[in-house]
Amino acid sequence: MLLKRGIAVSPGVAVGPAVVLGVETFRIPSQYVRVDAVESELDRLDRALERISTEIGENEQIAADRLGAQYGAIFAAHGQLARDASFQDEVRAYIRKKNYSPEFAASRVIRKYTKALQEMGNPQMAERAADLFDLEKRVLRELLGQGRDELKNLTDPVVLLAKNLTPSETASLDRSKILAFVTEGGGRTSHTAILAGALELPAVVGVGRFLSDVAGGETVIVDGQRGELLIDPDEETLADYRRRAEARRTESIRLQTYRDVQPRTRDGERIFIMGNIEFPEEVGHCTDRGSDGVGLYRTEFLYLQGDAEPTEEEHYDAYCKVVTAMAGRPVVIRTMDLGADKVSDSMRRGIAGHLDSALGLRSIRLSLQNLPSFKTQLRAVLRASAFGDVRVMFPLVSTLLELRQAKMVLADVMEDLDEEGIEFRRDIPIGMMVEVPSAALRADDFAREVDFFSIGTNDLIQYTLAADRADPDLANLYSAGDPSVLRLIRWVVEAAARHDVPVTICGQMSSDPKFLPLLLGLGIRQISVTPHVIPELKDLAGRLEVAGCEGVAAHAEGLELARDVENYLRDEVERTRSGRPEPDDRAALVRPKSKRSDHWAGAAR
Amino acid sequence: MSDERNTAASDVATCTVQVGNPDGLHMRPITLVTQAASRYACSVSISKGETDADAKAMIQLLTLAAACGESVTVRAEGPGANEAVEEIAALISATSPD
Repeated sequence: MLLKRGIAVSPGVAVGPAVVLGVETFRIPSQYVRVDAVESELDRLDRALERISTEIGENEQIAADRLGAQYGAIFAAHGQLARDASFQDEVRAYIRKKNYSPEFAASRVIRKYTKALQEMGNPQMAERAADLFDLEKRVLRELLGQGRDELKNLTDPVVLLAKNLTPSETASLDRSKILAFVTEGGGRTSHTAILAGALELPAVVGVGRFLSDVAGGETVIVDGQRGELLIDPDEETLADYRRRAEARRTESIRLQTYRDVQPRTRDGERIFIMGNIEFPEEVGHCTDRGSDGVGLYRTEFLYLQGDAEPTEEEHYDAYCKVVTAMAGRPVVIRTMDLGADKVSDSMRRGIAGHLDSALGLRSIRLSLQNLPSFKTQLRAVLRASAFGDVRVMFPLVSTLLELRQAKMVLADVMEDLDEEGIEFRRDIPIGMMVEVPSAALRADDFAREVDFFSIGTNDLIQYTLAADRADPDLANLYSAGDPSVLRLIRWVVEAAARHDVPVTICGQMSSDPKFLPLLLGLGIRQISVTPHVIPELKDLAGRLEVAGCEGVAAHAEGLELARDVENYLRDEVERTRSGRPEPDDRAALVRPKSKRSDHWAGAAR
Repeated sequence: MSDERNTAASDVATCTVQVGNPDGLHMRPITLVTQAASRYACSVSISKGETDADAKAMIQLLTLAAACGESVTVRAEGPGANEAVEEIAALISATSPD
């Protein structure tokens, strides 16, 4: 068994035979042969190798005659490789001793050597692997003969493994025959990731080199949640994953029934659960699950495609797609939230300093220094606001001055649109992310100047604890359960309530079910989450009572360590799910019930 | 070409040479080496460091990954060992396979 890790881009678990695409387009139909077929399979191998040898010999002659001896020699090398006695012996040994099929055995042997070549750390030698892949291709083509089985003719569902997938390749795949994707290349925003997400297939990308470690037909497990690929798993692991995949299927069928359910607590409090999206294509995941809106539409992908800055029309088209699909439900569009390292050269003009720093020139700070680009985005947002409930949100606001500047630019753009006679929603709600501690601490001041808050816990945790969220060594420090984080959230929620400003929580914290009772207890009624957890959260909300949640929050706030908070919340959710009653002493901790309950509806107009 | 050569009574020969081809021991020189080695009845091996490859097995030679200037040892045992080592060492140290 071999474990490979990559970037988890689309959740779910799949178990199935591997199809390796890109290096070979052949599918090995069976891994084993019957014991009594071994001799005839060995004959089949010999005949195939003989034909290859003859074919290569002919090619060698043709190339030598037409192009010169040195070109013929390329084929001579390939021919020699096919006739190589030690190679043939190894393949035969696999067929004889392990009952492998000739296809699987040959693939296995060749992969062993290509892997060795690639691991030498010598780029020249790694390229030699191409010669071996070429041999594998020939052998498989010959062995499979007319029965050659390409991706288009799949009969049973498979796990697709590839170096990279082009969008057209992916689009032409038979959805019912592909269980999951894993690619060597790609990132969170690669096409494969987008498509896997849109198709809701489990997917892992950016694994790095692994194709030479797996032979076609071998059983693999893809865990799209953890970002793992398990090659040739042992029986125990396999059984465990099959159970999990089955449980997940059963659960997702049950949760589908939540589509038309309005999320409410057991005592009738309405909870608004919205979706976070990055690509317009993802809006379907929200509508399919009866989302109350798009609580966070990240617009960064527009800036990451190609070298040029996105045009107003590109922004506008993307926004309109989402706004139209949400049919009147709120869509919160967040303006560009990138560091200077991610934007095009034209936007970065004249900027010095550390481009990739989380504490640097990024997000709203960058927008305010690149007014033409900022205005382009705001124009598109405003134009889209004519078609639905669009709200605009500024990220990473840390001072009042920044907020006022951003609002001023927005007012300028409105004026321009007015002059041009272009329609937009004049009273478009304006909000800000609360993700810098300075903004959280001054929530009272900010609340006077915005229509809504959205607490971005990912950055708020990072900045509060001074812990880089991408640094695995700081995983213990970076915790949503840290008392300092809870205190800031409580502070922001109370300040917002004083000014009648609704608060949403977006970020990973709200997508994690164990935090739901805490957040409800802190007074949060709106969350924006990864779309696929919406049904689960609806289900959980229905099992909670506001008073109980307030008790949970009060108890959690009394704990001193992040670890204790997280453990406590985990136990609480387990208890709720299993339907055990609350401990009696909880009532003593309950805070007075807030008179305001429907923040989100209050912001609508 | 050769910096060391021993010939024992029982027809064993060894010779250490440096790879001459600028691209190292890649497909083309390996093809020539295996073709040459296959003509001899004796066993011929080529080793680099700890790794040992049968000179008649192309796939094994490939994984030796011997780069230009690296030293490899050719060893033959059996009838014609001397001639085999001489011919193969010459092929490996040649700057061009042709």
